[in-house]
Amino acid sequence: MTRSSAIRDAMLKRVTELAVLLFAITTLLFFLLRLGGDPAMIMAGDEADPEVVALIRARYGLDQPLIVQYLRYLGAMLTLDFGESLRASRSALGLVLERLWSTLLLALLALLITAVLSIPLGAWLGYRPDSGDRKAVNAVVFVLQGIPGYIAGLLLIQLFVVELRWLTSIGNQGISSWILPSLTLASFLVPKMVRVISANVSEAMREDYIRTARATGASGPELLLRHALPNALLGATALIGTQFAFLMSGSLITEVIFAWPGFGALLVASVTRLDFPVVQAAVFVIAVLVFLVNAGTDILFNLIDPRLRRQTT
Amino acid sequence: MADTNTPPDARTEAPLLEIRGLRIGFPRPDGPPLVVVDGVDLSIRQGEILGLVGESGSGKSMLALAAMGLVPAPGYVMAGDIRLDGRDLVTLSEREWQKVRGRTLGMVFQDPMTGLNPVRSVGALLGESVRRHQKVGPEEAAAISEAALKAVGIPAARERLAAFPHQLSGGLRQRVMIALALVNRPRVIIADEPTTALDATIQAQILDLLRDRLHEAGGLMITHDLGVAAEICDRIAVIYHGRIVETGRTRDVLAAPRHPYTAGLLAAVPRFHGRGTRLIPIRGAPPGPVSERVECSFRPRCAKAAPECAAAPALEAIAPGRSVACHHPVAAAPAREDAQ
Ligand SMILES: Nc1ncnc2c1ncn2[C@@H]1O[C@H](COP(=O)(O)OP(=O)(O)O)[C@@H](O)[C@H]1O
Ligand SMILES: [Mg+2]
Repeated sequence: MTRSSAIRDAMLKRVTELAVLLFAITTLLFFLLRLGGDPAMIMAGDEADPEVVALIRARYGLDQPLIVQYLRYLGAMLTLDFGESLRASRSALGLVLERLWSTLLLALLALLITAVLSIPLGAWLGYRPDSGDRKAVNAVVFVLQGIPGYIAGLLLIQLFVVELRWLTSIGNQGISSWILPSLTLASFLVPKMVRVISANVSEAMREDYIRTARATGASGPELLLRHALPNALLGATALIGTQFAFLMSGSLITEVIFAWPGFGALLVASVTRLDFPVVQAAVFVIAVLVFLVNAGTDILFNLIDPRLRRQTT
Repeated sequence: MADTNTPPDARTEAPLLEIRGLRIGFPRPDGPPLVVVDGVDLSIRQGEILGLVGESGSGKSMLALAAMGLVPAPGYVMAGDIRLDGRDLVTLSEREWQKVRGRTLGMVFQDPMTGLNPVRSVGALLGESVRRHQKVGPEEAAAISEAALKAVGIPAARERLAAFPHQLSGGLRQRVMIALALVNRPRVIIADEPTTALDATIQAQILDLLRDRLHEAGGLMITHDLGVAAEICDRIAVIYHGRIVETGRTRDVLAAPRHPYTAGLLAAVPRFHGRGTRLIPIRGAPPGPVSERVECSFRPRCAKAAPECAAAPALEAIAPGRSVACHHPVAAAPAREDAQ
């Protein structure tokens, strides 16, 4: 098989996976949401006239049999038409995409913070995992990993907003308002990444190639930074995909806590209001995003791991 | 202790590497440490390859690592001197050791598949070592690295600098490992089972290479295979259970092994074995590490064991450059006429 046809096959497989995944998720979502309640009643309010409710039903096609609604929904989705929001009379997908950038900004900042915190800490912990001080820090990280991420957000607000009054906790109002939400979101990932990196580093430090490097006169820092850490980080990149999915779920909570105008907050609000089209569009976008990050990680992995890189000689 | 393992013609020349009374131990919580290398003397001269031969577990690697200052914790050097060009290494600080390793002492390890960092290119590994020990810029370091690859017989050396270990065959990787050991022209090169992990045909090529390169400096060739030692070593020291039991010039040891253990090792090597007779493996297994030695460690396996063997024998000179640690050495006349 030639190389280009191998790549084409791999891409075809990926795209097929994505299609199956999206079909499954949207179908599941469609029926789950219909179990939750009657959106027309919610839109019209508790005291509403039955005629108004009927009108609303007709306007959004909610009076049709469920299977008809489902088929219509599938057909529309093929053209990326999720319908209008039941609340805002705007395209549901448009609403979601408008919020996408805020969420991605937050996610990117959180990833950056995670890298800045967990690479040095993980390397330090893994370099000599048996020394007393590192055992203690390891125990702390282990405990932190068990604490839900939103607790960190609430503690941060209590400290910096309520007590110290240094920062604001509401919405996106420029750089100073990014700090707390991105720290909170990062707190979902940091303990896990510290543990993964330190485990990878301590494993790498026991490898034969470390002894070889020692025999050429390498110092402790050289062993760690030039020999163990590159291998440890390479192992950790494989986790980016799953951690990104985790990050997206963390962004739901974080955005609600900080009234952050991202699509996580939009999704939560839309679920409570039974705004089906928006929920469906948001879940669709998250699924595509997670898929893209996973595929991107694979490509990245192929580029940076010399063992997977194509031979050029 | 008397200088017993020096050939007469070399006696005037001071040894490059000299090990005296080396003891290496592993502490135990419930008693004195386990001694895995117990009072070893060795010396290597310029241009000479000394073979250290013994079964697995006899302490060969620990001895080699001690000479590099790399005994794995919690193991430690309990006693003895290791002198390189007259300078005592045992008392060096870690920082001083780092200047010796890779510079005046080079080491080749057994397994080239796991011994080279998978994410570093050959040029990066070599260049790092060159620039650590020599004050040169990146271009000159690359030139020195390339020359080292040529010296170990790697074709297209310049292109290979960009290669990663996984792109090379096992034989080429071991050549890279050897290049890494000799790139800074060390005074002594230690090779610990350098051909054990390789195919037979590759083994022969690597041995040829080691014979040349190790003779340019001083070499310690560690192997469990007496046949391998016979190929390239000038002298042989046989180690059993952490002690040297016999030393001598290679041809003397092969022609007339004096320690029953050496004789047993020799009988187990097909190449030295007479046609038509059976290969005779040494019966039993070596004892595990102990804290204190009372009887001769080989006694339980020895066909010639006698009551005196309840006291461990010392290594004693029996001829110039020849010593043996045995109460009842094998007869001096060639025990096997087919041994040459
Ligand atoms: N961490 C350790 N604790 C106790 N004994 C050890 C340890 N590591 C190695 N040894 C012992 O040291 C002895 C010598 O090992 P080694 O030098 O590797 O042997 P060789 O290289 O000749 O096969 C062996 O008996 C082994 O059991
Ligand atoms: Mg060994």
